[in-house]
Amino acid sequence: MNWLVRLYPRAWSARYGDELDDLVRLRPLGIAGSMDLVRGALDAHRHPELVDPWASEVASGSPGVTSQRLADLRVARRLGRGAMLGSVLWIAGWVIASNGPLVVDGYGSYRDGSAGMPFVLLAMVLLSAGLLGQLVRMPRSSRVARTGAIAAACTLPFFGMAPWVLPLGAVALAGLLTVALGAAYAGQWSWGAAGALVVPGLVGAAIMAWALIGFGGDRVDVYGPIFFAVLAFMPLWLVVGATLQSLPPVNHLDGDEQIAPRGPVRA
Amino acid sequence: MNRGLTEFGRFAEPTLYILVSLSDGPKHGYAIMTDVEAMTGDPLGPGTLYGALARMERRGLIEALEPEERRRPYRLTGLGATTLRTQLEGLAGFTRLGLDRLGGATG
Repeated sequence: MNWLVRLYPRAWSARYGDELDDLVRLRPLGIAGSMDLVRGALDAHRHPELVDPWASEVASGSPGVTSQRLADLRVARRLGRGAMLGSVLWIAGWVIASNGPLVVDGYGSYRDGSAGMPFVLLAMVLLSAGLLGQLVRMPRSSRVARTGAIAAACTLPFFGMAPWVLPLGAVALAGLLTVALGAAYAGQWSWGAAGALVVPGLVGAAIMAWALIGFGGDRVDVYGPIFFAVLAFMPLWLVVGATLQSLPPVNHLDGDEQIAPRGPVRA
Repeated sequence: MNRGLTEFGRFAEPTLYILVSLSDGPKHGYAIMTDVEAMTGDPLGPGTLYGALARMERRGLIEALEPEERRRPYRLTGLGATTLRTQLEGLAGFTRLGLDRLGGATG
């Protein structure tokens, strides 16, 4: 395939790539044609809705979806990608924090983990963003899941600023579990997806509790068990993000609102 | 110019050319490109052509037929034909008006 045709987005290439490549093969581009193709690729990136598989799926499944609702779902999908990135920052933050300089005080020793705190905070903010995406995606009828999302989204940034304040973490975790179970009950998530969040969440909380209760002495000893809890919590980001990457069930696409038929797509 | 095509932005004019090109039967991208060049004297760039085709297809003015190897022909839909007729009638009225005024000014 011509390398300029490769500049087009993947969805666009899947739909028009062969034709475009064939056309370019039949007629050498020249400078003006090359510039036109680059401009066309930029335009394709600016207007993914023209060939977006979501839009195609919606068009065939539900004719009453507004372009605004589609745009909202795309925003939710991007927030979900941010949440998945947060899982990496979460791990990175704790790796950095648990390898900080050793500090000895009157109560024993601990690692100065302040260098990892910005990563942890950003991870929490991105998880909050993912939950905001869930709020955008879920219909208003999913009240339980939405309430959990609001509670967790509001708590997580504060927990990220002070991760030693465990009650904040407990409230955030409870909110996340509520999101998962509420969304599965409302048919928004599969039960498998809900389980992929709930089980690691509970396992991580149990490891964390065991580590904090069982290692009351030298605080350096606690880092090993806590890191297992940190790993166990990683799916929270991944599940919140991954569930935003697919379309909601077709009968929930309109967010339970009475809406006008889909208008023309603006260029 | 074409009120019904203004939402196509910079693709409005290429869209009109493509509609005219497809008005005598289905064509694939390369055939449209050469036809438009024969009609207007200016080549239609591949990026512009497929930017316009994507918008037209999304808007329901054209539809894609089964591909023949790597080439996929397109044909006008009923909406596309109606839109083209409206655009051409509008242009014809505008042309008559302009010629009448020009005739009045010079005659």
